[in-house]
Amino acid sequence: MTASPKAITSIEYTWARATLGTIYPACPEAGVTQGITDMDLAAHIDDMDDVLPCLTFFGLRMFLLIIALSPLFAIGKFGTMAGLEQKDRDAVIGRLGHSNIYLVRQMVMALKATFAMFFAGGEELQAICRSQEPNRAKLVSLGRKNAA
Amino acid sequence: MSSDDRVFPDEQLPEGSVVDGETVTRAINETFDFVVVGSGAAGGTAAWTLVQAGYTVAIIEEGPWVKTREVDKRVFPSFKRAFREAGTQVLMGNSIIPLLQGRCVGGSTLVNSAIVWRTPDDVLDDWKKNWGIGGAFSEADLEPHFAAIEEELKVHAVLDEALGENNRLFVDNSFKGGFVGTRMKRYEHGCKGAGQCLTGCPNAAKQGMNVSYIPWSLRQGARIFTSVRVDRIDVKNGRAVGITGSTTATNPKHGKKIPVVVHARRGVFLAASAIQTPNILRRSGVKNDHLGEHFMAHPGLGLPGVFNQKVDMHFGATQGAETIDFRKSERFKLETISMQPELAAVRIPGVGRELVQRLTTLPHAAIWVAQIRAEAQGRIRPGFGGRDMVNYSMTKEDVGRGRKAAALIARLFFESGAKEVWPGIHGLPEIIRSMDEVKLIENAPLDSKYYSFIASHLFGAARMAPTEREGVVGLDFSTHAAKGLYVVDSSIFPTNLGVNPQHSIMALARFAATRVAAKPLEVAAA
Repeated sequence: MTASPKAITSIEYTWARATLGTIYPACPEAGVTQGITDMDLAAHIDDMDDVLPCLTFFGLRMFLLIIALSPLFAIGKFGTMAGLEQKDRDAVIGRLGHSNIYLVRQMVMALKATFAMFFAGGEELQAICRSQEPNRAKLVSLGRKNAA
Repeated sequence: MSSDDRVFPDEQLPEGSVVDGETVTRAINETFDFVVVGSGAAGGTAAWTLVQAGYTVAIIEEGPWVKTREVDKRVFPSFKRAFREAGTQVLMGNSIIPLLQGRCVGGSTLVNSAIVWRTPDDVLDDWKKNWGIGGAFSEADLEPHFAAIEEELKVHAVLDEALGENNRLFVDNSFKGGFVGTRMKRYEHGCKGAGQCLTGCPNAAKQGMNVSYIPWSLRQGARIFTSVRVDRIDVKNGRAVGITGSTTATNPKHGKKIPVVVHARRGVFLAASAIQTPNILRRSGVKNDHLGEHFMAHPGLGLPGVFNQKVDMHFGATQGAETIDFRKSERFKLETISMQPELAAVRIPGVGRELVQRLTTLPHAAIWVAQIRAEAQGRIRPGFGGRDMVNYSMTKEDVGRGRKAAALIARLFFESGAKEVWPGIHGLPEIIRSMDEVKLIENAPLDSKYYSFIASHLFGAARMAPTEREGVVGLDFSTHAAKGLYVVDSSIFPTNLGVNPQHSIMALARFAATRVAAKPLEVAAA
């Protein structure tokens, strides 16, 4: 575990790792060996605290808090997200993300969107998504065909 | 980051022409003929027009100058520097709709796709007949301004070598959807298809204000104050006489923001965008029943389609193909868009390993989007901590247009050979795999909470009208409340357009600035 961020308490960071690590885990079979918790999440959270409006950052903290305390309501299990086994965490996030209550599923969506900017910017995913220089010759010839 | 030997247009600027609010240490108090608030499409164009007419011009920009050499293809570093609220702004209403606005030199022209559309004739007719602003400008009045901008900013259709597969698929297959897809016209010179329009062009090929009108203005004597927030327009005896603001950064020595006062001998051009302009006017003491009202947008709905072959969205014009065949009949416009993985992730279904696995299939994905000419009207108000608050709820009819467009896109994807479409509509399967399943989209609920709309293209909230009773800004582009306070951004538009607005904004700003510049001194400074 990397050093805790300055912007949130250590317990919040534990919850954040549990929740965000469930949304963006490693997936070695797809070539992604680093999940979000293997990256410098603490530094990114501090970075967000610096640049986001305080109300937005506060909102994200609230979402992490609510989700951390939601297992009882989501899957009927006592404890916080951090205290659950991974399959139960998956079930909590899955349940909340598909909730029929708009604001509940938006909490997951907000975290997914905000932290995508960090996770998907990681070297492994960037390399996978930009791995091959496109065949420009092919593109040019197809384009000409269309223009003709 | 770029490390080559090229000299970009935003480099080697005249000494003293850029005053950076992030590093300035002393209070600023200066005088110019005109002050232009905002350096985006409207502000950049107005400044360049006034400079060419021989006036001294100060440009005030709230954000920093993100130089071409500093452009970062990663999204977060770019968003935190170039976007308002680091790209986390939202419209609040029945549903929460994300909104992206540039806050940097060049404004949104640094981070948009530079798409060019002249104001449609039917819009100008509507404004003339139903909104009483025919006396302000006509199609013939705007024609030379459109033409001049198109020449200066090298407008042309996307070339073969920068087209890219995402755009090509759309153009080549559009006939299967029963419409004509065409290559977009853009402000662009030497596009290499970097696919990075949304985080800034690393080659200065996109002719945003940051590499065109702003540096050109500075080379002819203008000065820009970056990272300076305008608190208010100063009005004396019913005339705008300058601005009062402060740096956005604090001085490390005393921890306070530095005051900035810039006096205007002849007038102030307000070009801060349809969201910020109304609140600046409000802070400046302007009172009008229409101020902050009638805000409109073009909510967008994007669908990814996954192909067996590689699409490689990271190569090609970020947005390079479109159709306006449905603009009048259905009130939507279809476009392509290429997204970096950090942005596309939001539109990828699921969470966890499933999500990460799908992220790695992005090289096979294309994204096509519908821009809805929504009828909904919202409201701009000052928010907590100096932020701007937008209340906006799409109507059921607007959502219906989005739904129809989504079904059309899904159908076109399958006709084009896609094996999967990710509709992103709550309650529907996360992935649909056949034409038959498109019916599910057609029958999706007409509630914006079920969809993933993103707002772009902002209009209204300080609309133009012949009288103070009907609007905020008069037919001479000056507010009814204060003379010499010209509003030239899209906040004056009485309606949205149904096409990308940058060209209309620029032509109107150029027209307004040309007219004001031609006013005799005694009239302008009376």
